[in-house]
Amino acid sequence: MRHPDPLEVHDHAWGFRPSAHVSSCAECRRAAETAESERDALREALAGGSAEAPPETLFVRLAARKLRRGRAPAASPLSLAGMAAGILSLLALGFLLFPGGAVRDPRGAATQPLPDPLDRLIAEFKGPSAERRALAAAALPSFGAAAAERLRKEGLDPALAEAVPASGLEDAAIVDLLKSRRITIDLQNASLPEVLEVFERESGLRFVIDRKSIPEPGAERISFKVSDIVMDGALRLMLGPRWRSHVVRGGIVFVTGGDVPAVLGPARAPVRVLRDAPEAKALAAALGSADPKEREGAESSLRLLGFGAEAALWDSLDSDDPEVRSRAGKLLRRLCTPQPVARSFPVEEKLRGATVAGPGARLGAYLEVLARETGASFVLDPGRVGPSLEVGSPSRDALRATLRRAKLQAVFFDDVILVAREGEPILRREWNGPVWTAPDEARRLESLVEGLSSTDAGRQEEAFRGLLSAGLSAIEPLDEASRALEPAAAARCRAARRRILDQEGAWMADEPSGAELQPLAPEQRALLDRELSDSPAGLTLGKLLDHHGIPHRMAVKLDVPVHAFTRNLKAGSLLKVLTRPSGLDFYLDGGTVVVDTAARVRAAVPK
Amino acid sequence: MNPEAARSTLPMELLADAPDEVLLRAGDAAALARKYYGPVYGLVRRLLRDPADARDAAQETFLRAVAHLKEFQPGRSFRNWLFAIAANHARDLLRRRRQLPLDPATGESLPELTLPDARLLREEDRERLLAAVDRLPFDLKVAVALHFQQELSYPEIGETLGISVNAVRIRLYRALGALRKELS
Repeated sequence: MRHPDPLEVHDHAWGFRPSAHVSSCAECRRAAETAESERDALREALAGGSAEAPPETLFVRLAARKLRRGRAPAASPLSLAGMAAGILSLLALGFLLFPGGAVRDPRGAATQPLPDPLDRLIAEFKGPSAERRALAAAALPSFGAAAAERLRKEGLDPALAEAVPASGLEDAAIVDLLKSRRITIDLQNASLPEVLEVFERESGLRFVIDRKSIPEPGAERISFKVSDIVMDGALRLMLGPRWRSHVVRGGIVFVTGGDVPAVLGPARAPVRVLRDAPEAKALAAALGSADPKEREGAESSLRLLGFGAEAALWDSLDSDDPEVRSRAGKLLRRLCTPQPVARSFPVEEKLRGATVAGPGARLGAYLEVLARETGASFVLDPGRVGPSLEVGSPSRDALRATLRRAKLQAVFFDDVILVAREGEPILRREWNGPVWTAPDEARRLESLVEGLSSTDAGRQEEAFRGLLSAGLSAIEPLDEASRALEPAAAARCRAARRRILDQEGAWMADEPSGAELQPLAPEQRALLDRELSDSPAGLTLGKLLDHHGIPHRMAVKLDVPVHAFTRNLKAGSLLKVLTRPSGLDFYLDGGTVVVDTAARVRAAVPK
Repeated sequence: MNPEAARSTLPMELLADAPDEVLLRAGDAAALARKYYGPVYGLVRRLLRDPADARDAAQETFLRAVAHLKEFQPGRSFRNWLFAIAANHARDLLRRRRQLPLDPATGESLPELTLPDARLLREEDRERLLAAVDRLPFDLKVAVALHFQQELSYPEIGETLGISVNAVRIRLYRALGALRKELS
């Protein structure tokens, strides 16, 4: 008799497909029984879910993300589940607002109690000083509606948390920027959020749609075309005919259906990674120095300390010197407002007002014309972006909008623009104030950074792991912490930051590394400053360096073709944008450029 | 108000039995998390081994589910959809950390395996057995965990992992062969 194959016996034993032969054959039945008993052993070993309860932070994080479905929720407000949902949501909010003194990180391990950032604001608001009350009132809305319950409990008006803040100095700067920066837009059939995204990208400002007056911003389609006009005018042209307007409040450009926005958008809080920096007190005193340079220097140093200067700044509000009070108030207002990132690069100036006529629908042709007419230099992210990519009908001088349609991004440097895929984790280090995020996430990051800076090895390890799992959102707080903590803690923050960047494959575009950290001799510097013109397209980096007579050693294989659109670009800039996005780097060994992995270059180039 | 005290008065028995559809309609992410956190944690704990990683991954699974709820197709099992998110997240995590063991036999071809002549997987060897399961290649381990730990049927595993029922069958078969080899 021919026995079936083992799989058939297995199928029979595991109940997938009964076999007549196995049922009738004693030998096969024994084998099947053995397989069945093995199945039982596996089931018993693995069976059952886990009794592990969800950690509290999960509810807080879930509460921050309102559960949304594709269709509207059923209208059953009095159902048991609906009531329970309401109770749970309130309790989650309650936990957010009344953490009971201790903050728990996502692993459920209790960590050091952290002072609630609202405590100080509420105390200041209840205090006798009108100036302090005004500052606290300006800062409270930054916590959004999530603070309302807490305010009610303290006997304060919950509307304080939802009030539209008075326009401040930063808002005036934003209005100026909107009135001076020009934009070109050519969008067909786009939604309001899509149009505003272009404004965000072009301005670096944050735009928020007031959902109370515009409940379905994605529903309406907008076709909008303007050419080289100031942003403020473009916004009015787009919004006016739709009975909408924009208003700048608290560092944010609100788009609203009414005169003023009804809400401030989702609650956000700054990540406070530094506490009571020891030098802050002396710097705060220097705000009243007779020497203007010293005053300016102290103000900018205090700004860099972030929340490390907060306590000293509040204390300075009691100073007899009006100059000190004024500057401290300005810095506190700045701390309590998310700062826009609106740095402009010299190369962007070259692009403004340029006319691109008939460059064709391919990326390479478009950039070729743009480079010729503006003198700007473009390099495609090697191996990831090719010149034959369709970019549609290029918008005149709106580089970012054109690239965005092809799912690309422009990464600006002082003298070159790297064209990379959208979503590539390319970050910038430039610090423009504390990071703002959801309040629970902010407190979680604070707790983790504090754990890493503690002297307890167990807490350090827990915090390290927590920061790794937080990913790129931990980069800026770690960066801030590594600037001001004591050397050992700062080193741990730098190590965690480096590990996260490696783990996420991210590139910190404006962070010096490799040759930039080397003490270069004049002839070495001249080699990197050499201007490369007339670079043939499609050569590999090695061949390109050969072509320009630059001695080099490729310690890693980089066979992808290089596409640069430039009249003249420094060798150092070209090397930087061609190597670093790919996890590589370069340094100089005598008169030779060495290209290697970023890790090996870090090891070769001492800090 | 002490949230811990208040939380103890929750009508949990009402929520535990509420159908997923009701909870989804009510937009009650917290109740869904209470209902499924245990199974999801159990799955990622098996896949990632490390309890701390598993806690993070289980949380991330719920946050991702909430963020992508529009993609959830009504009629599909919400639990299995969560398992799919959890398994994908665990795979990404291991791959990113380069901890994902390369499985040389990733195809679905039938492996060489003789009939069992003795029971090699014994209950008393539970620890050894679990350790052997931990060492399985990811694709086999996830099928084993979904079938034996979460008690999903072959078609449900297929739907969760986006593979055919036959592929599930062969993965479980290969997993058994690998376990026998490991424990013999």
